[in-house]
Amino acid sequence: MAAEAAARSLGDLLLEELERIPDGKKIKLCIQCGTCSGSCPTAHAMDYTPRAVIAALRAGKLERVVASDTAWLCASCYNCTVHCPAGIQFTDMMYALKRLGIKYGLAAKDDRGQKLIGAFVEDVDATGRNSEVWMMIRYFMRTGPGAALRDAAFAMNMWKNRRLKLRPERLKAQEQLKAMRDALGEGGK
Amino acid sequence: MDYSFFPGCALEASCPHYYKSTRATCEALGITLTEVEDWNCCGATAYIGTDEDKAIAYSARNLALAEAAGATDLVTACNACYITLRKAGKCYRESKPIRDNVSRALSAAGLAYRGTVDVRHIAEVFLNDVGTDRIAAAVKRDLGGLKVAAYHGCLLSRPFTDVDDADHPTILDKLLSAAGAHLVPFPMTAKCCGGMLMTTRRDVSLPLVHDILSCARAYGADCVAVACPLCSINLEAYQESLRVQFDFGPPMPIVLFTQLIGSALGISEEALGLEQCFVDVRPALAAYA
Repeated sequence: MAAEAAARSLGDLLLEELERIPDGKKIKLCIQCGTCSGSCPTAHAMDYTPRAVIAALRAGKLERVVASDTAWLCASCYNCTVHCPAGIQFTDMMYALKRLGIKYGLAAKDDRGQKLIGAFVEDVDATGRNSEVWMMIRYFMRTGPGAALRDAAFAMNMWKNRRLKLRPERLKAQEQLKAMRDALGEGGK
Repeated sequence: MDYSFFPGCALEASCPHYYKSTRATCEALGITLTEVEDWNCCGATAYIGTDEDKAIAYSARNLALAEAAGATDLVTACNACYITLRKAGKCYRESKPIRDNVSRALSAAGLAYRGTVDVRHIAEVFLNDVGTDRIAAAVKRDLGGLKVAAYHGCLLSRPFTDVDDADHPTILDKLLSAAGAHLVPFPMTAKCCGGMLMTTRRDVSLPLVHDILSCARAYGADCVAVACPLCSINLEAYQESLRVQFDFGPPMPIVLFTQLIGSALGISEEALGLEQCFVDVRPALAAYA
């Protein structure tokens, strides 16, 4: 684990991430009611439900959450966020957990979520758009051919319905996106 | 009515029939959409998982371009673009550390954003700016009571918007009703389809889709109408897996809501891309014509 994460606990780093966003500090108001976990369509598959993430944060045990599948099972549906009586920004908490896991090399026992995000970012940074097809090729290059074979029928159907676009659209002003990325630097918030 | 338009990547690639049917339906309703010139990917729900500032900066570039072109409203048809762009606008307005960093990034690209653009979903524009009365008046051959389950998905009504109830949105029901559809009860209307988990964790996502489609079928729907390209793919493209794993019955047509409204407005099948749906909705449409 990187020295920064050791010096300041992962919990502190998570709180710092959340303090930047609107209503991010409300995470401190959690009463452990579990409305978040009850609202979550994928909590049953998580190692730590959204409520348990905050319990782990308070117990100083966040490292095991970051190293679990939890955040990578969040589908960004925001059901927890709109239902939380304390207004806690759960979906952003999950994004922050993903970022911390990537940054400190802690994530996750199943790395497909990380690989998909990696493929997405690489694709968007390369062309300014998500080409979808090339994003998936980048993903399959990371996961190996098994997943690609499983989706062969899907790809055939997309092709048949003229919904598979092989030649990606490219942004004209590529240099603008590059300038923006350079201005923000690597390993950003 | 003139609006600045953000199609988003999916309407350009995997969902061209949503693009076509949105364009054609808007034209028929007297709405002019002007595409933001040289827009870029909004970052969706993925980019923010690795870099929050870059993700918001990518969205903010589009808002800055729309603002510079004189737009007050930026319209999109994709639920994910809708909420991602709205979220970026909110963070930019309300968080100083984010605004400082994103402004610096925009400035490095020769851009600036004052925070004036309101991001809107085309369904909400149809309802609030056009209105169901005008839509009903423009109908040339109504849907004849076609039984539709209107699936709003997650991100049309939550959380960075107040256009509709977060749990029980009804925008699509109102619009499709004006076009002559019979809306079946659909308690799963705002439940999650799994989004990008369909790629990484199909074991988790498929049951979610199964629950949504089984609910539509249980209430007698002939088709499910959607307003999001990712919802569309997740609901329509894996039905063979549903059949094998869950004994899901005959395929359920998944159709963009703009295709159904466009059809009622008398727009041709080709112009709406009806043949590009995985499961053909045309037999159902014909049965009620």
